Amino acid sequence: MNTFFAMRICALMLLVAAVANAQLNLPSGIHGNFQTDAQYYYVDTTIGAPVVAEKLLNNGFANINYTNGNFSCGLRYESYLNVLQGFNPRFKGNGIMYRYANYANDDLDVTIGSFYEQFGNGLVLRAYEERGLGYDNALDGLRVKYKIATGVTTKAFIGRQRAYFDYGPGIVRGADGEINFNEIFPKMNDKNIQFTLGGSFVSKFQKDADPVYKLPENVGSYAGRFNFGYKNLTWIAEYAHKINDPSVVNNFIYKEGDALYTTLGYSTKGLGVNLSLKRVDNMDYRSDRSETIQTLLINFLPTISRQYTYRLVTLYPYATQTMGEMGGMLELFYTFKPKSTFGGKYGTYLAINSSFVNNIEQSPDTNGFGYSSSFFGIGKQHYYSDVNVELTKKISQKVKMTLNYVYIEYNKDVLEGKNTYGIIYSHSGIVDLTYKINNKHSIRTELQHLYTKQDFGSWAMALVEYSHVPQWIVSAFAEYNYGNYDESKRFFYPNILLTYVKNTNRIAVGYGKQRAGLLCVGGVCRQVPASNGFSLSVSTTF
Amino acid sequence: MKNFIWIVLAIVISGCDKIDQPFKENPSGGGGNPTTYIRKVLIEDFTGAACKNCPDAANTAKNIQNNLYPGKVIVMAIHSGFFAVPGGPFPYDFRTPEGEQLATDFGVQAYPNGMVNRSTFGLATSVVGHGEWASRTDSLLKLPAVATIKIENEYNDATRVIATTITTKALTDLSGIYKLAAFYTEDSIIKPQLNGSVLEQNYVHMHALRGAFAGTYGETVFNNAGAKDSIVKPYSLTIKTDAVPKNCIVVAYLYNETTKEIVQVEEKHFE
Repeated sequence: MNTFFAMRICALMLLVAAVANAQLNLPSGIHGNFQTDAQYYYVDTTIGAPVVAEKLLNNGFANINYTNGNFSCGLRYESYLNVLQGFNPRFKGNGIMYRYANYANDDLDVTIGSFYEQFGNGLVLRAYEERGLGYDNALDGLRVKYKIATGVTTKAFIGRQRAYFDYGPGIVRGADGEINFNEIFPKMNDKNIQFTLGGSFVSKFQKDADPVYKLPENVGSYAGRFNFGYKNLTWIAEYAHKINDPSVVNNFIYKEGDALYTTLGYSTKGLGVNLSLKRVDNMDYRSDRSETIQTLLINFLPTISRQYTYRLVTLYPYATQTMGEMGGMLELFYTFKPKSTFGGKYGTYLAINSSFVNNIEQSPDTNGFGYSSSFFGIGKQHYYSDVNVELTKKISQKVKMTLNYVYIEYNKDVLEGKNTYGIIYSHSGIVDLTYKINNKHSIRTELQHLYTKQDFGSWAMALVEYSHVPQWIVSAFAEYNYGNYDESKRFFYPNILLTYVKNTNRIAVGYGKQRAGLLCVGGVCRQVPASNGFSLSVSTTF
Repeated sequence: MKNFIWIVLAIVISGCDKIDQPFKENPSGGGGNPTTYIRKVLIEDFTGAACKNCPDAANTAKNIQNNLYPGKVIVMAIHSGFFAVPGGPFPYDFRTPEGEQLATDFGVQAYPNGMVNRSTFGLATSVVGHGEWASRTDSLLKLPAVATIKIENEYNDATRVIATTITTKALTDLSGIYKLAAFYTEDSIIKPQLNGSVLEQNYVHMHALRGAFAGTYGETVFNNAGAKDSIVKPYSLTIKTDAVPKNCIVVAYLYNETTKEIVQVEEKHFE
């Protein structure tokens, strides 16, 4: 959309809102946030950092929202001059791709313009933004939410999806309904029963201009779900089905797709257990059948493994395989009470989880369907598994400790599209210690080690972080790939970061060398190239 | 309001097209060009030896070139990016500085991917997956030819120098700046390639970009040309030491400097 056009629309909306405010004296306000992330890149071919012609790259944005009673509107201005390394270069220049106006009262909620939306767990629809990944598949069109009766809500929308500074060619439309039985029958609360039931339908339209294939122009998908709770037990499940959707990603096969996601949980004071299971079969769903990677995805398939945050463990993250996977995860959380044998004086928190993902069983088909697959058939190709044990303990008034062991089996060939690596087996150990000097000053250290005989070999990392709350944080860390079998590639990656926070303003200045790798959020990943340089980040909210 | 919701639901639920076999239909045949001259189409296939899905794209290009629109399509396989970095079972370096620059400038991130006459079809990028190549080729072949390109080659076996003379002629008025770019490609290079999960040691690489006569973007040949304007450009270069001359081809194309869109392309074997 033309930037000036978008600004004029928002200005008009603000004017209308201001007039309404003057007439009705409704509560109103402008709020939003701003952030800019700049990086200066040095040439460093030794670590494989690509040469950046511009030397300085910057990603920035500002959200400006106005609310006035039941009315709200807003826009987001984005600037990529040019986009930071590792983000898709289709983010180029400045512009407004997100602007909206919304009216909501007790029963009705109407949005025109841009909006994010999710049906259920996202198996057939999830339009969302993950700024760290450069992921934004916002819908642009019209959405209506309506509360039909107590406990019964519906949503319907139609729109096109954002693709960087453009919109995809397909039109996406959908509807969702949910019944909350606890609102209809309040007595269920007395019996500690919770139950909601939902269903959704999404369809995309894209013209068939292919001279070879007869392509479906309207591709529909549907899903059903429930959330059930009884006392300490919870059970969440969603099943989705998609009709034939030949695309570049599935190599133009006509097989239908489906997905199942379910979690069974039990929790009581000090104890939690969750079991999650997932099956995905040919569920890559986009509003442009020729797109790949993270572009124009309509749905979201949640990952079933733990999302690690400790740096070395993120070397081997799991990304959902939209074309097919079957797996499960078991999680256990237990808090040892204070003054017990394992709890010590302050108690001890223990978290254990393990996950396992393989491909789905497939029988080849030569009639254009690609393959057939039994719903409960687990394939023999191993994708990923992990075991994680995390123990957190407050040792004294001043010292808190987290110990972490992580074992990962990572099929690099499948998960990164390679061929010669096979499955990488890694063991990681982490010690995270925080020493609280006083109420304002504290020091945190991390020691991490990842052991593997494959890939880049073993790594070590150390971090020291000094915090002077609420304003200053200084952190320094270094990663060392001391175990690389190619001795000339045993690189050292030092980093230092100074962060200043005052009220809602945050300024961070850093310098460092960053290794190449995958950055993943929620099972969606992007490749980050190696880099060497200074960084500056400024953000605020208002 | 309830009625509105149900109307929307009804519209949405009707949004399914289930296709029955056969899934393929006869191609439209392309062409449709009433003039004597044909606007040929260049498919630039960004590829890499370590890219497991790239042979699928190569097969798509081959099918378009040989079966769907014979004589009307020229393919250039541009080995570039992450999957083309030599290493491990793929020691041979297919990359060229020009190919790397094209991949960077046109924002090629995922592989395989390609461009069909660098036409954006109204979108932000001209780079698309190989599933779109046939339909784009079909559309572009229906456009009238606005220029012709004639290539004459003379190869010297002793010096391994290829001298080419390229004559470009405008068939209609061409407003704006048009540039001519010339390259040579090579067929039948037998080197390893990852194909799905199989490492094919003796994969036959076709149309591999090997070098450029006048840099990545060539030189300006027309500035607001009139119909029948023509220009002759001689170029020469020494081919790579391991190139097999009988498998080498000169590829030349004319493109609009502003839109980057290729309006004509031609090819000719060295000998």
